[in-house]
Amino acid sequence: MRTDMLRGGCVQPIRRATGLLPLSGRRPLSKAASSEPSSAGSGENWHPGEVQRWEFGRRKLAAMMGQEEVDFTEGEVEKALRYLLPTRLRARDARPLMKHPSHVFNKRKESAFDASGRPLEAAFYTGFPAYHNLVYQVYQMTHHLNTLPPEQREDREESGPTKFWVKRKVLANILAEEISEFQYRDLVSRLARLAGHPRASATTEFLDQFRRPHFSHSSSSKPAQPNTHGQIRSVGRRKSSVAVVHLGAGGGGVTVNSEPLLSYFPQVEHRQQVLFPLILTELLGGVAVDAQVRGGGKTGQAGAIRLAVSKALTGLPGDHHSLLEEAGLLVRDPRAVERKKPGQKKARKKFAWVKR
Amino acid sequence: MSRRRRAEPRIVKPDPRYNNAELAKFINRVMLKGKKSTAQRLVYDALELVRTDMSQDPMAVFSTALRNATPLVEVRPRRVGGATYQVPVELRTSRSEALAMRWIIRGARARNGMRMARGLANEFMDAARGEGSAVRRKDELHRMAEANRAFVHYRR
Repeated sequence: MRTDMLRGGCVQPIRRATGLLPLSGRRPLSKAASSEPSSAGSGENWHPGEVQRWEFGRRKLAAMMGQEEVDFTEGEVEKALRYLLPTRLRARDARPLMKHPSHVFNKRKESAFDASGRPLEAAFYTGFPAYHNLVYQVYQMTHHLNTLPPEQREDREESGPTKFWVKRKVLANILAEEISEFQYRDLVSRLARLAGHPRASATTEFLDQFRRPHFSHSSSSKPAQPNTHGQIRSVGRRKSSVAVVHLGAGGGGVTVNSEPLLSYFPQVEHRQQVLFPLILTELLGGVAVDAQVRGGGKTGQAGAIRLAVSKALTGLPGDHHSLLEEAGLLVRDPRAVERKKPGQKKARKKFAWVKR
Repeated sequence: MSRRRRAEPRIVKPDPRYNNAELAKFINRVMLKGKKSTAQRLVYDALELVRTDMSQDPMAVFSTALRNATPLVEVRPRRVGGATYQVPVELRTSRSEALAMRWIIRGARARNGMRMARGLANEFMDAARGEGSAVRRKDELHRMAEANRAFVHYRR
């Protein structure tokens, strides 16, 4: 079943004609079949012994922490490690960790052969049966939709194209096979075509398997929750400057490092930066802003305060998030002074070029 | 000049006082060593001087000055069959604007015995009248182009 031929006419998968060959005793096992461990059962058996090792470690940790084994969950394991082996390393994968093998190892396949040594899947000989089956399945569904009688053509309102299909590695994990970048992109375009079909309502369940869960609000998860004084505290950074802003109810007073706005930012542009989010959300005279800022220069500080104010505003009642997001006010400007490189005068300026 | 891809033009925020993007670009060109505040002060002071001297809206004068100083064509050297000709070629708006601003600023810097703000103001007024160094440079350029009109067919 060559999937590259699916673009043209219809191709039927080769069905295994079990009835035709006399099953006279066992076939000699192929090399592939015999290499499988006889205990190859469920598709989730990781390298043997890993689970036991993990279990052992978990029990040890429980004992160390003076807790009951039964209650000692994976979360407790993580907490224990953070307590026993504190680290200041910033890279998550450089820190000590001990995860259950199911999180570490990829799924392995179940046995691909039946009792008589024949491969279960028709597509077995492609080397990637799960992938090819999936492609074929999507093709079949699309074809089915395309060949419906004309009356049944349109039936649903699809909210907009799916932008978030599952990632390549995740897909590979689902299928328990390796997927190349090319295969992935092809599959995504097929899925997208199916998803965009006007008659596709019945397929949404199938397609949902492959959609990435859509996070409506990303990192800045609504900082709401005013503190004990009824203020919202937020942080903004820009190019070496860090600003901490407290937003409270009241007149439109803006204070920076205990100075009035006008005096701290004599330049118009800086004041404009700070006030922009308030102007956009029309909250200008309604909130009191108190900012503490440190580091960098005036312009960077203004930018940092702007971010902090924007972030704080999302915590107020009313949907300011989408407006601010559209205006790009919620983005931390990553531009920073570029590093000077060895062999060059400055970050980009090079030494004089000599031919010899 | 970039080799790989055609660089997209940077959009500059309009000027805070008169809300004009051209002026903002001009201020940036006047700026040295990243001292934007100084550059702004100079340009705004120059505009005020213009307002006083000419009793007109300085922005109008600025626009006129720029327009009068913008060249439409320039000559670029090109080698054809052993000889190097000066081929007249039409200019991209971005380049002609840049040239106009460059000339005005250079003219202002070159003026001796006066502050930059004053120099700029004078350049603006002269250019608006069609007189100053910037306009002269533009006229020369146009003359060169006209003179070498014979080679215009070599435009790439």
